[in-house]
Amino acid sequence: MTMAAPVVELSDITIRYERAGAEPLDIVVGYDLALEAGRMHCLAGRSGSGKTSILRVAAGLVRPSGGDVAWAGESLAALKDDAITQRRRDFIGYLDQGGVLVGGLSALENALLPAVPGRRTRGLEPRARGLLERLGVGHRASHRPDQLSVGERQRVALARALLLEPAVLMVDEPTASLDRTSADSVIDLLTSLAAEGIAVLVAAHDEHLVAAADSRTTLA
Amino acid sequence: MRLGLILGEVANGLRRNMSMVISVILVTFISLTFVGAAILLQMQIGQMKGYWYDRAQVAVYMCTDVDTTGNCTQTEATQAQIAAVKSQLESSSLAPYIKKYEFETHDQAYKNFQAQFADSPIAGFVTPATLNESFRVNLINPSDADILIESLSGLAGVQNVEDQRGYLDQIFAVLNAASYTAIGVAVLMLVAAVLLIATTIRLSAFSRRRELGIMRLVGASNRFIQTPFVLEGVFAALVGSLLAGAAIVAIVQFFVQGYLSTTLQTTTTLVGLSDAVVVVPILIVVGAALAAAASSVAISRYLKV
Repeated sequence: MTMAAPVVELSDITIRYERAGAEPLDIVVGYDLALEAGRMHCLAGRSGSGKTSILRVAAGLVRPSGGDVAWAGESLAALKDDAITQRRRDFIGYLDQGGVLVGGLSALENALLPAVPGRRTRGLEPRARGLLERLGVGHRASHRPDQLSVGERQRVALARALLLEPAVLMVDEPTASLDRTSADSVIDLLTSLAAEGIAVLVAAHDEHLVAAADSRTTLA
Repeated sequence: MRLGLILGEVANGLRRNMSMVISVILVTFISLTFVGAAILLQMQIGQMKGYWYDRAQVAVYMCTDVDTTGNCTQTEATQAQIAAVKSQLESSSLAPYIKKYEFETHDQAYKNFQAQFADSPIAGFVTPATLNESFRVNLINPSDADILIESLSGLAGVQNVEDQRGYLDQIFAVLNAASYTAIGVAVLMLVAAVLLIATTIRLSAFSRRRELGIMRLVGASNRFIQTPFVLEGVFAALVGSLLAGAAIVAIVQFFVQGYLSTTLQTTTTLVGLSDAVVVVPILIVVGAALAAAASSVAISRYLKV
């Protein structure tokens, strides 16, 4: 075990949804997590147990109702939304469930989207092509999302998440809509990414994926 | 890719929400046309006031032998009484306010009346004696009429002192009411336009919520995400205000200068193209303000990232 500061640290996180005309609903209460580089942590639990909510809070997309999120030792609480957004750009790669792509853009253009806000599309095009190759969808680079299968779309979305060499990869249910063979190859891929030094936080209820992780928390 | 992407998104949004965009354009167009018409009407009123107030006189009517109103007792005003009024007009207390005055005798009044009502059967019933003799006074400043009314109405042999601006004020009151109505309609339509633009932006954002989600995930800034939606609203409002500007120019060119000026045969100057050209930039500025207001509503309510 290394003693380096966690890449992402959640302390005492509470996530509460306000409901009109009803008591607020506490999805998550007092959750702690220290995610370290080179390790894969799995958030396990049934649907609706708050896996995605924790991912979104950890990615700085939503502020927690209580508790604190820190990236590489820096608390997000004091940062403005725009500052968080800018930091997220090359710190966190986020792969949402189903791997949503922008219609009308090719696979390559979709993979290059994170480079758009920083105007780096031209410089990063070789890396995007390389990622698509490595993920097995290089030959589909010029195809549009409606011409891709579910698995291919997810790989393009993964290439997009990895484009800016993030320190953390957050993945929501990557195997949910895949057959066993494709799912297992995604699990291998995540394991090898972790082995390369990326911190991987994955939400899943797929037992293979839960078992493949270095550590896991099960949400009620 | 960045600018191209934004413009592409704008074009996409416009295509997807075509019917909403058209309704935004129409509502902006109509509301701004009302704004423009109200401004033109105010300009017209201003021009007419300048023209007619200069020509408006104060008339001091002297008694005839049939009058019972005013200070009259069914006796014709005497030469002495007329001379008294005349000396008042030339006195040091009134003379400074008066540009010029003339005395109109029974015969002159009759001649004017016959000329004015030449085609009317009334002309046959009137005799010179029934028409008042009068002083026609042009004031240096038409709004000083009250001073004349005050100092002359009490004199013997004076039937009535009348400020002709009173007639004009009625006309201007009608025109003013018309322009306030136009402004009222315009304000209501502008409110509708703001809400409509905001709703269009919301619909547009809703139909692209997946793409918006992706752009958030990849760390696109608020401004980057909001710009296409705001541009959509600005585009629609701009088209509407340009149409309104064209309508105002057309109204002045074909209705006011073409139809009204030939039909009315008036000596009054009517608003012209040079006035319309002043109104157009105002409409475009109002249109831009409209779009900005609508966008800020939309951003604060629907595009919070």
